[in-house]
Amino acid sequence: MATTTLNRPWLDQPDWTPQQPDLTKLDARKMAVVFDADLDELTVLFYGKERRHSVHPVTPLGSALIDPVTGEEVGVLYSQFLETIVRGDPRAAMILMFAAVLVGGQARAPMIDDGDGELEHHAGFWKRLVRAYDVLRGADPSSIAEQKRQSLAALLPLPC
Amino acid sequence: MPSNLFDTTDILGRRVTMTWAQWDSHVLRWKPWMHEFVDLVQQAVERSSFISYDTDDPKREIYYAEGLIPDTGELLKVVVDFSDPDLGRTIPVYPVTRPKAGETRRWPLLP
Repeated sequence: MATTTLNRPWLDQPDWTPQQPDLTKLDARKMAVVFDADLDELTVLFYGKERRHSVHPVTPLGSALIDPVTGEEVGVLYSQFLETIVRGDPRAAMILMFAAVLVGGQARAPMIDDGDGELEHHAGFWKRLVRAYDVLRGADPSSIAEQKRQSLAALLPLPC
Repeated sequence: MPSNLFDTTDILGRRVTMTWAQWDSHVLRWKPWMHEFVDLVQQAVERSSFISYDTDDPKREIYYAEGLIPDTGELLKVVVDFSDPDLGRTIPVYPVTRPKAGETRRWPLLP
């Protein structure tokens, strides 16, 4: 069976890559985070759950969620979230405070809901998570280590 | 309402189910626009274009169906857990642009 390619010129361009939105312009209160414990997958939806998207695998650990018509990146999906990502950088686990958790046939509400504005207050967590995705796109463990080293260097500048 | 969204047989003759609870909690609640795909999931299992082993869990298999989603050229991806080899339980369903790199083909076997 042949795959049709009617409405995705963005994907048919060989040099196309997903473009992240301007994080500073996103409304954190609209974002949704879902952790599927059965699959160890974390999903971040930049514009909420109403936005139609298609999963576009980028690296073994990270996929971009793409509007299938416009090619706009509307979210990200992380695989092996606890097993690999949190093990590599435990700070990533903080995002789970904002995540609805799926276990079996049940869904549990986030510890911190977005209805009270706390997400906006904690928008820095979002930005760090999305920055981590940029590193994951490289799928090179050494680049993750380098990112961590640079982050530590920025936090704790060593004397020359 | 019956507890299963579907209870069917895949192209390899294995029984595969999906409960309404799984559909609601893992799919519809977080992707409400996927209500349009409810009838396609069973078709994706029954008439898969190809099946791969999951890269993260060897007990899971990935069913890909081409041509079910009109216009966009997306594949419909259905993840099925075979912890019980006699009964596959469908977990999530996604439209995807392409298969994940590194997946090993289960069916049809490549030459």
